[in-house]
Amino acid sequence: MITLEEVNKQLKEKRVLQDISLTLQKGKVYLLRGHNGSGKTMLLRLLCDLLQPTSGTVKKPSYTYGVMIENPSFIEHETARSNLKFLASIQKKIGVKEIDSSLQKVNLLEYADTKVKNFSLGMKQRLAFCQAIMEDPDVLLLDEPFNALDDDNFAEMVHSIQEMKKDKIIVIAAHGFNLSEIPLFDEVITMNDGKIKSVESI
Amino acid sequence: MTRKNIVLLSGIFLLYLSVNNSEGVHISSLERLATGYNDVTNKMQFYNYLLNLGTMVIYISIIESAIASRFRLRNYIATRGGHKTLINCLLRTVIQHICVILFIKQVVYLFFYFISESFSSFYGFDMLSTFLTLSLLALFLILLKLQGIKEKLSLFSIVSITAIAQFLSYHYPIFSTIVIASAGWQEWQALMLVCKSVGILIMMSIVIFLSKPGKIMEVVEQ
Repeated sequence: MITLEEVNKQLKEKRVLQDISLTLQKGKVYLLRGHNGSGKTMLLRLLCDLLQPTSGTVKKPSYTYGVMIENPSFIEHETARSNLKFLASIQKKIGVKEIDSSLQKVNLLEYADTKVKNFSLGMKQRLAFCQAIMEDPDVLLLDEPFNALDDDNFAEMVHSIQEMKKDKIIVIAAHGFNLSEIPLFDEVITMNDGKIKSVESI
Repeated sequence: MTRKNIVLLSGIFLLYLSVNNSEGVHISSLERLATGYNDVTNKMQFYNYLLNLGTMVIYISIIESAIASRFRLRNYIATRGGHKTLINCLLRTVIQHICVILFIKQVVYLFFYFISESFSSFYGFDMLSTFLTLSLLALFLILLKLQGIKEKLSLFSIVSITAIAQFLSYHYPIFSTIVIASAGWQEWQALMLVCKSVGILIMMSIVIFLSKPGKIMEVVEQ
């Protein structure tokens, strides 16, 4: 469980997150929605320690994280597999077999030895999702994961997330308001101007 | 290191060979290429200076692109092992690429040795100084990255600083700290190596300090 209590974040003069109090539980998929600049990405960065709060507390055990924040970025002149191998070498939890099985899950195994610079945006998006899930993290934080996906890959990603949700905290940030209609989310958190406007269970 | 950079580097060495043909190919050619100075006439030679700058631009761009490609993965690396792991990854990739540059220099030295059948005392200093100077510049590049400076701007800054420092070093030896070698390197070599090492330690401390969560990394995360 992750608990945020009265969390504020200020960057220079701007308060990007204001009085955020929230509890995130394992086994649930959260949709974090709001307009551009509403603070969704900042909240995701704060959840995975990329940023520290200016005030307030974030209580959580030592979780492992799989993140997909901003545009998918990789070493362009290297292959998909070597990018993933490099990232896997940091925690040394998985080997080539697991990497390949993750690539299979996102339908990229046949492109494993293709240089990332030759990937389309949708393929890069799937590769970013692959790096996020490959080490079976406790917390999955996905920022606009469905961008640039065709219908088939969108359905496959939704299916993968559904399969994984049992023992994970999954937070998906998106500005598409009709996403809440997908039978994937357990709670919808709506943000506006750095504040949580509402939390609704589905 | 891309194939394009290797071709460019080879091109510079070949060009250097061709413009030095009138003096005969000699191991000291490499010394002049590194210093941009002709110690026979005791003057800066403009084409030496330009070729020296050309090699420096390639060295720096090799290191810069290596840092940039790893830095692009910063969110994925930092969430796996923290900001210190990110810095470790950057340092490791910098050292790997500097070693490749040193290996290329080694090959060129051997090539010159087989042609001229003589060896220069500049070799040892050049190898050590290249390693220390490029490490110092790489740490400066990492520092700029941590402050959110864009790739092209940081590359331009470093190249400009190197070009100016190389020029000034002919008159003020202290500027040799941030270039590989300059005129009168024999006289100042020990002091220069010490200055470079101290510079690296200072840069390293700043980079480690700024890589802590809540410090300047936040600028990049914005």
